[in-house]
Amino acid sequence: MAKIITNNKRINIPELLIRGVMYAILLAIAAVTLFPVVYSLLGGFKTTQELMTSSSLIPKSFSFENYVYVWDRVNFGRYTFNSLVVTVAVVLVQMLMSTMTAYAFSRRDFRFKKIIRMMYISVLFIHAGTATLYPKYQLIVDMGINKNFLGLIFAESAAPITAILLVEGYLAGISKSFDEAAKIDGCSFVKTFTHIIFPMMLPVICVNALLAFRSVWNAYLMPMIITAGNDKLQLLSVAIVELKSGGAGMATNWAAILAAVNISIVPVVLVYIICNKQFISGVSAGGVKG
Amino acid sequence: MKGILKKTAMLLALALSASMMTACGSSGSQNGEKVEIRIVTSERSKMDLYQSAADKFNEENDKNIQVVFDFKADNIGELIKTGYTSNNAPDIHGGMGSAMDNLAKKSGWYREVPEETVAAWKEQHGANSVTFTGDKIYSLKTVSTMEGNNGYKFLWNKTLFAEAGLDPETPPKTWAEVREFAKKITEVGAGKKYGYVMPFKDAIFTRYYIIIPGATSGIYNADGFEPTQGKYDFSIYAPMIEVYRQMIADGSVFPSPYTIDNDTARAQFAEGNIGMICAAGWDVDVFNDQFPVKDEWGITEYPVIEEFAGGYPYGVGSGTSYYMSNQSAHPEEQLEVYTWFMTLIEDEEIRAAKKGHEEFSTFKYPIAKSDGAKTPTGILKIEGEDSWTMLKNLILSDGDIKEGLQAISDSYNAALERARQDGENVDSYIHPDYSFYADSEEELAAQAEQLAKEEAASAE
Repeated sequence: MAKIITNNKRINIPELLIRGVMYAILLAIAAVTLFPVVYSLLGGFKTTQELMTSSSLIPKSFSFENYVYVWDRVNFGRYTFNSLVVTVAVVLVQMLMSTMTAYAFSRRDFRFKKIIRMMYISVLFIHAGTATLYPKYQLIVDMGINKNFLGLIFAESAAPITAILLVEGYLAGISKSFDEAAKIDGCSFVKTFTHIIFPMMLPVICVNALLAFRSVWNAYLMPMIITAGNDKLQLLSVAIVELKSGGAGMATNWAAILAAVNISIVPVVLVYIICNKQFISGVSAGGVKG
Repeated sequence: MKGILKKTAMLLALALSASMMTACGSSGSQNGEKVEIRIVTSERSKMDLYQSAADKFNEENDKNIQVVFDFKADNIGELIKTGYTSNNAPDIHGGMGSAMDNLAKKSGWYREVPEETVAAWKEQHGANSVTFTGDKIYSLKTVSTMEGNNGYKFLWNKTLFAEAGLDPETPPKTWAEVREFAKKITEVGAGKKYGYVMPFKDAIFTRYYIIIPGATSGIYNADGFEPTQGKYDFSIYAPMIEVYRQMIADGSVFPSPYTIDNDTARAQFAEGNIGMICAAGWDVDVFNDQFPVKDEWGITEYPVIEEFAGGYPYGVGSGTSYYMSNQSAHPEEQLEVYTWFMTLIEDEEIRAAKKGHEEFSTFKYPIAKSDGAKTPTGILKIEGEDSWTMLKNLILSDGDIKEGLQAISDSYNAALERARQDGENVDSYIHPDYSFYADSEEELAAQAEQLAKEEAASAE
C-alpha cells in the first residue's frame, strides 16, 4: 500500500482518494440541495422577464422592486403577522399536548392505556389525508370560529404522534427517582409534571417546537380553505400561492413569488438558529432510550 | 420583578386572545355599521384598478356598503365550491370553469340577475350585453369585456424580420408564408432566435393556436362542436395541424413545444427571440407592462390557409364572467355592488397609451359571434384525455391526422350520448340554422359593406 511520509505523518493515498471521492459526492449533494435556495434568493432580485429568458443565475441588476411589491402592495406584512400569531399559538398548544400526553403514557398506568396508545400509534400508518378536510372545515364553520384566528389554530393544533413518541423517548432517559422524590415532598402528579419534569424536557420541547413551527408555518391546504372567505386572515403560505394568479391571460409574476418565498423563509431560519443547540441535543437524547 | 413579569404576560395573553377573536374576523356588518360585500376574483393584474375603485365606492356610497376584494389563484373554483357547500360563499365571484359553473347553476348556487336590472343593462349596453344560460341570465357582460381590447391577433417581430432579409412592414398573410418566414428567421437566428412558438406545455393553448386562428380561414366551430348538426367534428382542423407539423419538422419552432408554457413564450417574444406569436387582447397589458417588447413589433390579423381563405377573424370577449351567490346575507347591497362592479374599466387614456390597444379593439373583417352558450362541453364527462391534449399529441406525433381527429370527435360524441342518457338536455344545444359569423347573410353583407366603407374612408 502506497504511503507518503511527510513531517512524520503518514498519508495513506487510497484513503486520501476515498476521502476525495466522498467530499466530491457530498459537495455535489450540497450543490443540488442548495441550488433551489440560491436560485430563489437571487431570482427575487430579477424581473420575471429576465427570470424566464436568461440562463444566468446572477441578476443583471439587483432590484428590490419585487420585495417592495409583495410587502407593500400585496400586504405581506399583514400575512407575516397572521402566520406568526397562528404558528406561535399552535406551537404552544402542540407542545403542551404532546408533553402531557407523553408524560401520562410514560409515567402513569391507567385503564385502556395500551389500547389508547395503540390508537395513537396507528395514526402513523393510517393516513386519512384530504378525506378529513371537509368535515374539519364544516366543524370549524359550525363552531363559528372560521372568521378569526381560532379556526386556523384549532385546525392545526393536533400534536403529531411523532412528537409524542419523541417526548416519550426523552422521558425514558429521565430517572423515575425524580418523580418519586417529588411525590415524597408532597407534589401531585400534575405538579410533578409542571414543576419538575417539564423544565427538564426543554431540549426535546425545542426539537418538537422547531418541527412544529416549520410544519405550521408551511401548512397550506387547511389554511387555504379556512381563509378562502377572509383575505385578512390569510397566512403567508397561502398568500404566496395566491400570487400565482395574474388574472385572465396575464403572466404569473414569478419573480415576486420568489421574493415572497424568501421573506417566508426568514422566520424559520431565525427560529432554527436560535434553537439549533437545543435541537441537536434534543434529537440525540430523544432518539435513544436511556 | 416576578409580579411585573406575570402581569405583563397576562396582558400579552389577553391582547393575543383579543386579536384572535376579533382583530381580523371583524366586519362592519357585525356591529351594525357596515354591510360587507365580498368579491372574489383571480384578476390580480387589475388589483390597482379594483382597489382604488373600491376605496372610492366605500367612501362615497350612502348605504354603508363596504366592498372587499379577495384576489385568488388558479384554485379559485375549488375554493368557491367549498364556500358554497359550507354555506359560506362570497357575495360576488368570478366564474369557476364551465363544468363547475354548470354544477353551480344546477345546484341553484348562482343568483339570477333580476329582470329589471337586465332590462336596464341591455338598454344601456345593447342586446348582447348579457350572457344567457338556457333562458336564464346569471351574468352581465362587464363593460371591460365589451369595450376593452378583446380580439385575437397575430404578432410579428419587425427587427427579426429585417435581420432575416424579410420586409419588416409586411407580415405573413398565409400559413404557408408563416412557415417560410419562420424558416428564414431561424436560419439567421443561429440557434438563439426562432421563427415561431407553440406553447403547448398547457394543452389548452392548442385552442389559441389552432381553433381560434382557424376561424380566419373559415374553419371554425364551437371548440369542435357543430351546433347545426348537434355533434362534434374536429376533422376541419386538419390543415392547421398539417402546417404546424411542417414547421416543427423544419426546426423553426422555439424549443420545445412539449415544455414551453405561454408565459415563457411571451417572455421570449418580448426578449426578441421569437419571430411570430399568436396573441389575445390581454397580451396588450402583458407586452406593455409585464414583458415590455425590446424590438419593434407589429400586430396583424391571423394568416389564412390559402384554400380556406374567405373566413373572418373570430372575436370573443376575453373578460371574466362574474356571478352573484344565492347565499348572500345582503341581496340588495349585493346587486348594487354587482352592477357597479360590472362597469369598472381602466381609464381610456391609460388604455389608448398602450401599444396594441387599438389594433386588438378593431377588426378588419366582420367578427364571428361568441360561442360560449353554444357548446355543451361543460356538461360532458370525457373518458380519457380532453380535446386539447389530444390535439397537442396529434401535432407532436406522426400519427395519421385524419384518424387522430376522428378519435377526438368519437370520444366527444360518445360523451355527448352518455350525457343524453344521463338526462341532460343535449338537444337544447342544437341550432340547425346557426352561423358563427352572422345571424343572416344580410347581416354579414351589411357588416362587410360598413367595414369596407370605413376602410375606404380611412384610406382617403
